[in-house]
This record gives sequence, C-alpha cells and structure tokens, in this order.
Amino acid sequence: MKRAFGFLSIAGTVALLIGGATVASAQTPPGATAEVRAISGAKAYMQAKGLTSLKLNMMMPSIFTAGSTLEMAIFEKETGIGVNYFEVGILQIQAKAMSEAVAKSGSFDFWIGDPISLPDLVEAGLARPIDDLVARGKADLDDIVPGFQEQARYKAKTYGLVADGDNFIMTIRKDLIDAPGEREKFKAKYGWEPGCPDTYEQWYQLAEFFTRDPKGTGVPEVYGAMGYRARGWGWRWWLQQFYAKGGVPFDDGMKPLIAGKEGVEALRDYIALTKFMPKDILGWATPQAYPFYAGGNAFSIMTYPSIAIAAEHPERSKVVGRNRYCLVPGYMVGGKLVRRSLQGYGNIFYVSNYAKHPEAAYWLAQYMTSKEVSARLVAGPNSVYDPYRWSHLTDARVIKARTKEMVETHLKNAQVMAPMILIQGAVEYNDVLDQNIQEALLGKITPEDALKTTAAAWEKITNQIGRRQQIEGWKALKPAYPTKNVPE
Amino acid sequence: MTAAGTPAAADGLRRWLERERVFKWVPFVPVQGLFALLLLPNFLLLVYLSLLSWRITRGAWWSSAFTGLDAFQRALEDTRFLWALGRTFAFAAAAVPLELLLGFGLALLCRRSFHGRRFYTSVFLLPMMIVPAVVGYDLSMLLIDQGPFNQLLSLLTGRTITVRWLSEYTPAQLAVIGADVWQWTALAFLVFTSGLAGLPEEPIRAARVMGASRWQIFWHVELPLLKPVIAIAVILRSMEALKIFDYPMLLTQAGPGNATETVAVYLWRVGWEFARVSDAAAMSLILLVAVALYSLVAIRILRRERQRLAEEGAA
Repeated sequence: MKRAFGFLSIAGTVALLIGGATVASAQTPPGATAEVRAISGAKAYMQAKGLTSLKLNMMMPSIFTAGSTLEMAIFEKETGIGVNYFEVGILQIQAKAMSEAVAKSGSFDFWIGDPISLPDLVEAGLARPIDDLVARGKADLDDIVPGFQEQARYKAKTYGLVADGDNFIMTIRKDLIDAPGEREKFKAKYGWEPGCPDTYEQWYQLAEFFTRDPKGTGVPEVYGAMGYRARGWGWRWWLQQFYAKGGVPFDDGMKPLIAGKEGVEALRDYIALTKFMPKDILGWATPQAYPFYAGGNAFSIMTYPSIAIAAEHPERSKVVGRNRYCLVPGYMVGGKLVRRSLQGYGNIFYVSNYAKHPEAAYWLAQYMTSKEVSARLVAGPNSVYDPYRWSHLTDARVIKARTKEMVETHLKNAQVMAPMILIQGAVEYNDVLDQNIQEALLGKITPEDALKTTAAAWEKITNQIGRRQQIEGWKALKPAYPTKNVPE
Repeated sequence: MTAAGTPAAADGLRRWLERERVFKWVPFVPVQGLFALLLLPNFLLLVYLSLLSWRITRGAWWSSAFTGLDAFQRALEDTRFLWALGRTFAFAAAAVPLELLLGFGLALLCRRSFHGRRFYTSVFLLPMMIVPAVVGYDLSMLLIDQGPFNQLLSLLTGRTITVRWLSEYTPAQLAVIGADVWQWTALAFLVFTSGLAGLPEEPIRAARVMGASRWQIFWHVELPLLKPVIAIAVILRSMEALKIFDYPMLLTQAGPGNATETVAVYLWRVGWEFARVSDAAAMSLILLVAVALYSLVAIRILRRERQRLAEEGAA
C-alpha cells in the first residue's frame, strides 16, 4: 500500500511537471515588442529542445536573399537559429512547394512565397495554420494596413505572416514634365495640365507625348511608359486595368466574366500602351525594368513599390529626386472614377506542415515581420520588401530610402487594393490568362478571342477542380475586394 | 571442417557459373536488377497514376478515384499539349540536323593532325560540359534586344540590328534552337570524331589505289561506313532534344505566348504548377509512346545499315 502510494506520488509529480512545462511553453514569451517576443520564444524553444545552435532550411526567391540575410544573421546571433537558404526562381516557388507537398520530406521548414499559391498549398497539405503561434507570440498584426495580412488567410485560418506590401504604384518623371515649355506644349495638345494621370487614357497621352525619339531610329531615347508584359507577369497588369473597368472575374456560379466589354476594352488599352514601351518588354520583369527606369530611359512606370529603392538609389540611379509617385490611374465607370491597385505579388512567410522545427521557423518569421525589423527590411539598400504597416508611414529610415511622398501614396493606393484571383487552381487560371494575353499582344489573336479562349479554359479548370468548392472559395475571396473607388 | 569446406564451396560456385546456360545470364542480372528496382516501380506507378484522377490538392494518391482512360482522353483533347508536342518535335527536327552537320564538319576539320588540334578539340567539346541552366541564363542576358549578341551582329553587318530574340515569336524559337545547337554540337562532334577514328583503313586504301578522288572516297566509302555512327548520333541527340526544358524556361519562360512551350515544360507545369498529376502522367506516357516509335524506326534503320555493311563486307 505504502509502495503504491509512493508510486502514485511520483507519477503525480511527473505529470504536474510535464503539465506545467506544457503550460509554460504555451505562454506568450516575454518582451514588449513582437521582435523581442520572437527572440524570447526562439530562445525558449532552443532551451526546451536542448539545442545551442540550429539551422532552419528555408526556400525563398533568389531576388529576396540579398535584402534578408542581414536581419536573419542578427536573429541567429541572438538565438542560435540560423538559416540555410534554398533559393529558387521567383516563378518556381509553387512547383517546388508542390513537390514538397508530395514528398513530405521536410526539406525546408518554411518559405517565402506569394499569395497565389496559398489555396493550392493549403489543399495539398503543405501550408501549416499558424493561428496558435500568432496568438502565443502576439505578432503585431494590428499595425498592418488592412488588406495585406488578409492575403495570408484561407478558409478562416492564418497561414502566413505578410512581409511585403506589393500593390502597384505609378511613378512618373517630374523633371521631364517641368522641363521648359513641356507643360505648355502638352496642355495645348491634350487640354489638361500634365501630372499624375487619373485615367488610363491620360497615361496613354502622357506616354505618347513623352516618348522621345528625336533621331527617328525607332529606338527612343526616352520611352513613354513601362509596365510588365513578360510571361508569368503581364497578366497582373491587365487584371488591374480590368478591375478598374469595374470588371469581376467570375459571377456567383463561377462563370467567367472576363470576356465581356470590360475585359476586352482593358486588354485593348493594355496592348495600345505597349507601343510606348521598350521593344523587348515582353521578356522583361523586375531585374530589367528597374535599372532601365533608374537609368533615366523611361518617363513612367507602373510597377511594385520597390521601384523607389531603385529610382532613389544614391549611387545606382540617374533619376534621384526627379520622380513623382502617383495614385494608380483608373477608368470612369458610370460617371465615377474607379482606381484599382493590384496586390501583384506580396511576400508572405509560410511554415511547412512537414517542418522539422515549425515553431523555430515561426519565431524567425515573427521577428522578420515585426514593426521594427520590417522597417529596417523595407529601408534596406537591397530590399524588395515594400511598406505595409502604418508605422512605415512615419519611420524615418523608410522615408529616407523611399521618400515620404512615395510611402504616403503607396499606402493610399492600398485603400483601393484588389487581390489577385486567390482560389484553388489560381496558378493555372492565371497561366492560361497570361498565355492568351501574350498571344493578343503579339497580334496572333484578337483581344476578344484571347479572353474568350481564356474564359473557356477557366470553365474547364473550374469543372475539374469542382464547381461547388470553387464557388465557396470565390465567395470567401469577395470581401477582399475594395469597396472604395478612390482613396481618401 | 570450415577450412576444407570453403574452397570446395567456392569451387562449386565457380563451376556453376562457368556453365554455359548460367554464364550467359550473369551480365543481365545487375542490369535487370537495377531496372526492376529503379525503373519498373516508377513506371508502374506512372501508369497507375495515369488511370486515376489525382490532383495533389485532393489528398493522397492512393485514395484517388480510378477513372480509367479519362486522363488520356483529356490529354488528347488538350490542344496546348498537342501543340507543345508538335513544337518539340519541330525544335528537334531543326536543331538535330544542324548539330549533326556542324559536329560532322568540326570532326572532319580535326581529323588530320595539325598544330593546336588538341586545343581546338577541347574548345569544341567545352559547351557540352556546361550545365544547360547556366547556358540558358547566360543567353538570356546576351540575347536582350540591345544586348551583346545584337551588338555583335550590328558590328558584323554595319547596320543596327535589334532583333527581339526573347520577345517575338519566331526569333524566340530560333533562340531556343540556337541554344541547343550551341551546346550539343559538341556531342555530335565527339561521336563523329570517334567514328572517323574507327574507320577501317583497307577499303579507303583500296579506293585510293583504284584512283578514287578524295571526294569520291569520302562520299562512296567513308560516309557509308559512318552510317551506323550517324544513326547513333541521330538517336542520341533526338531523344535528348525531345526533352528540351532548360532553354525555354530560362530564356523566355516558355513564351512569348506559347511560342517556346515544349512538351517537357508543359508537363512540368501540369504536374507541379497545376497539381494535375494524373493528367501529367497520361501525357508522359503519350510522349513515351511517341519517342519509342521514333526510336524504333531509327533503330530499324540502324540495323538495316549494319546488315547491309556486313553483307557488303562478306561479299
């Protein structure tokens, strides 16, 4: 009896200790700010696991490595948790992640990716819901401008921490407008004072006027416009115009609506503007477009907000201080101006379901996306992370790197920010759209046929995935669309 | 006991191995073993997957519904797949003859002994040793419309050349073919160099004695003798060219439009980007049949040539 009592006492004590430890580990780590809590949480994790150093495996687009390593090194110094980078091409993230969803190998603990792949990667079982960790770490989500963090959510769960406000911004060269006589000539020709365009028609006029080919060689000294038209990218620029036309991709039954009047007109405008762009634009994305604009070769560019890092770079840019950052143009719909700024990429830290150290990966993600560290990342000289927090508006480092005008305009654009088509099969829907838009750009098919062919292919995709499921996904995405027509 | 038993057992094994019916199977065991272990399960899994309706986003493959030949039907109705298939064969049909002609020409140049021959041989073989992804990436920078390649063309022609190699339909296709030719001419060169070095001396000497010109010897003696080597080069390069992936992906993302979307790129997209694994499996099998048919024809031609040469030799 005495022995049995002794045994029960020991068992009870062990149970209490284990229970206590569990409660302790589920508590919010100490720290006044999210980055301090992330460091504390990571240290506690290392202690609980009996580790002194740990290397997490991370998949990330190669374009983001340069802007991320410094902060990750600081985190490693503080916590012993470092990162082995597994770099991939920015458009290959989905395929690599899918192969891991099949292999379930745990080859990477977390990754940076865009929101497009999220629905597929959740359904494939790769993305891990992180609501529990967000609650524990008290990640400072309240400071995030509405619309950004929502892109990391799917079916009412949070799967990632947003690190990048990637809605498009318009940048024009104010020095070219202000050059002697230019304003007058422009006004005489088009009847309005040149500046930030309110509509796509005005952008066309600006592009036409400021394309400068004095020798008539067909290779202008200054191109009037720039936007992305390359395979894998161009569809995003069309989608923004389509949204501004008042277009909606699907009806409530998932019947495609892109081949209607709004879609065709937007595509015609999109193609028409391309004639003021560099001739090779169909093969260009960020690595080509940013230096080209920063080299003073173009009058205007519609692109990601990190253009400001390139355009205001003290050593690499020829147009420092000569840029004006504008609200995205729109269309007059029913007598009212409608502007739409597409969240055209948007990096998100995701944690893998097959991670060997999911919690450690989360703490690093929380650190990187905290108020303080995100400001440093956004302001970094090699950064392609863009402002997405209210605090970035007033952060001196961010303003120095980007200009106050840019940050303010960018976050105003966020008020009319529209998501990409974030439902299951998004990559396939977008790929078909992209392919047909390029065919139309090349003059192989008409804009009408391009969109009709796309709509027919979208129907097939919807039927293959399952219409009922897609209707639910589409219904869940709808609240992410803006209600305002123009920013306040 | 043990010491006496071991040599006896070894002796018994040796005698067993030396038996004619056992020995002739010995070389096949590792090959068949490897085939059974490495290729057969994958192949059978591929066939099985092609009979399902599995998407990666629909749970585990073993719980996916059996749908018979539906995936094959979808593949054969998929115009993008059929175009990619046709385009791939067209690329191979353009690239392989060019590679063979250039490789053969270079092999002929390096056939005779001359100062620096080894150096040139190494230089000609160099492209083959570069990773195709690196070739694709480098070319993507060299071929931009105001890039070094057009500048070189402008210098040579004395006119401003601004061909959009990466963003117009036909130039992009030519760029992909050009990349393949640049890299894999080296393989044809290697095969032909070995073939030329292995040509028998007697028929050539006999022709020379009979007063044949250099051209006649080449056309009527050497070239026919090289036919099996040519056939091998055609088969090797064609099969590789049909798998072309790196250049279109790195040069143009398989664009503009779908100008350079090869079947390998499309299969990769269907399987890993669109998560439609069963469809990708069915398409792979259709491609396999197409390549197998092509290879069978080529091998038959090769056999016929060998037989003809053997008969001529006997005569």
